[in-house]
Amino acid sequence: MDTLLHTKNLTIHFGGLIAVDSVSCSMGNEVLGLIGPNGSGKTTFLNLVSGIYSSTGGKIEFQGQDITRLKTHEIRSAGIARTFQTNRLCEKLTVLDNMLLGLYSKQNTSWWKVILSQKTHYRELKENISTCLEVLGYFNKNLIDRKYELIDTIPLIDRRRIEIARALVSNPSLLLLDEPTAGLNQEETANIVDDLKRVREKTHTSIIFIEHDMGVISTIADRVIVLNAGKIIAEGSFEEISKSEEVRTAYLGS
Amino acid sequence: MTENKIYTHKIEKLLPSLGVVVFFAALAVAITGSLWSTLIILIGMTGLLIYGEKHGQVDRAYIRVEERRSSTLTVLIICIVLLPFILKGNSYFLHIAVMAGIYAIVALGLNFQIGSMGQVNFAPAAMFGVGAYTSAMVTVRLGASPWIGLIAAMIVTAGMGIVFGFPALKTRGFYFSLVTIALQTIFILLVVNTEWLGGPNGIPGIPAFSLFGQSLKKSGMLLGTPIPYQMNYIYLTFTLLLLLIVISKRLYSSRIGLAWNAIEEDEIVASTQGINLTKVKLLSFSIGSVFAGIAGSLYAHYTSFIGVEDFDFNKSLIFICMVLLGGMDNPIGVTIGAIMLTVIDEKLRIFADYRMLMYSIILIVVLVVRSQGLLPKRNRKYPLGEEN
Ligand SMILES: Nc1ncnc2c1ncn2[C@@H]1O[C@H](COP(=O)(O)OP(=O)(O)OP(=O)(O)O)[C@@H](O)[C@H]1O
Ligand SMILES: [Mg+2]
Repeated sequence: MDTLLHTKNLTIHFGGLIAVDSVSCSMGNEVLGLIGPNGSGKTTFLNLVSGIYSSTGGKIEFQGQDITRLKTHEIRSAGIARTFQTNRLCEKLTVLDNMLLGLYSKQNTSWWKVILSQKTHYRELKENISTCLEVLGYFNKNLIDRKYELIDTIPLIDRRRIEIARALVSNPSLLLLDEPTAGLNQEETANIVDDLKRVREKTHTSIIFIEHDMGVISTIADRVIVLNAGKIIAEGSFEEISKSEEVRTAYLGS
Repeated sequence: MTENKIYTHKIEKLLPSLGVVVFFAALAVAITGSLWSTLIILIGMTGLLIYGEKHGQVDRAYIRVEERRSSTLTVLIICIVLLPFILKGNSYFLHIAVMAGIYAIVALGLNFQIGSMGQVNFAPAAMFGVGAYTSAMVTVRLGASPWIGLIAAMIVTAGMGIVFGFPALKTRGFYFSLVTIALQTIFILLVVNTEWLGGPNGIPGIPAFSLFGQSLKKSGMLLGTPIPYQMNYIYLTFTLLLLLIVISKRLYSSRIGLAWNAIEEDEIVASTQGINLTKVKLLSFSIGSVFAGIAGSLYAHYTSFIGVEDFDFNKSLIFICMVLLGGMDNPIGVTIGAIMLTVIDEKLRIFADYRMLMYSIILIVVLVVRSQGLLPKRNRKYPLGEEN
């Protein structure tokens, strides 16, 4: 299995708190579940990989390239896209504009070309719009008709879908999902999980999936990493980690 | 029935052009009439927009203009050509129109920061001043042609835009605004205390633009009647204004405009979409500053005298109000706002010392009635890919 993402002793301190503590792990083309109790450093780990935080120690490699010090936008261009734990769409923009933002890194009409002529930029825009609508359609065909609506009229489950679609539209090699089912009921959770399975089958995108619901993790993750207090305490298939004594105590709160 | 339908359809098609004509007629009345007529027009415009928005007419108007783009543009150009004549060839009225055009250019540039990116820059007047002083110095001290001055003003303000934009990379919201207030103050102090820049006395004797060997400061004759030289500047200013509106609209509908909007809402989300925050923010400041620079150069070579009080903090506030009144992130709205406020400002001269007070009251009233400005930002609708 080729290594897609590799971290070595990845560490970040916030003052005295070590939120991610010497995390070394590797992943190939797979769906990796990332679990752990509240405050164990899952989101912080994603923030490090996506370049929102810069680490205080250690190294991140993506497709053999050292991305530890890259800026957030460079990491997106390198092919890592993400969603957020609390849904973070641009509320003042329409569904379609949010999707188009996801394609920003793939567009190359520069500002002066935009100023000089509308033709090239319109051609690119037209292609992009059909890509956006197609990806939106994987998730919910209804959203295609609602493309010109503002985000605040869209129900939460569809916002979650749009956020995932916005990350996917640029065809990333690695997709980071931070609790995509947070705030959804059981039925909606099942729908999102179905969507993601379909997407995975279609695009073979690798995914890191943070999730609190063990049922979801057991159906979608090929492999699971368990964090506690910033450290990896278990790693393996869902069956393996669920047998681990340490994982149980971490969840039950020793 | 059908005949009636065709008839209404025809009228509908004419509406955008009719709208332009009505706007210019209103503008002419506002400029040539009393303060009251200006206020009545402002009230009428606000009322019409509120009514139109409620009944979806404004949205349809946008679509119709989009459909009939070339004919609307033609009518617009004809109106601009006729503007000096509608203003009765009166040099004071023409002067108001020139100033409205110049200020509209500054406001359009400021809109890239306030309207698109939500960052309130309190130094547009300083940037306008940098353009004016650069152009003046290049022509007065170095003896270059005003056109060279214009280009120099654009280059210098583009660079200054990066200087002004730099704090925007490090600070946000209030802090950013405070830094721009400081920059505005520094500009004034620097000019007042530098002999070479004319100090408190300003710079007199700035040459006028000339075209095909003809100075634009020469009054013309048309059909035996003398036409004041301001007419030349109306054509020059409004041609540039039109061009800059087109550029603004193109940027708005491109990924750059979208990136600016995303930065306004959430910088982290913007950067995770692959937006280079540094580059895109500096672009907003540089392009905006170049607009102010162009306006500054026009101003210097139009008035032939510039003094530091033309570029003070009050001016900056007025530019900000133009963007707010016209409607954020909508180039047409900003232009209308700038034109309206320039005209009102001129008409308020009768109040002498109370001018700023009256100005503020009018502004507060309009913004309370219509907080989003006259013509606010529209959701982007793309004129393509409709079939799917
Ligand atoms: N920017 C920050 N500044 C200070 N402390 C932080 C920061 N970001 C995260 N932390 C701390 O790091 C620890 C890990 O937080 P993180 O959000 O990664 O947890 P999590 O595993 O995602 O938890 P949850 O399941 O609640 O989402 C927490 O104690 C948190 O308070
Ligand atoms: Mg979290």
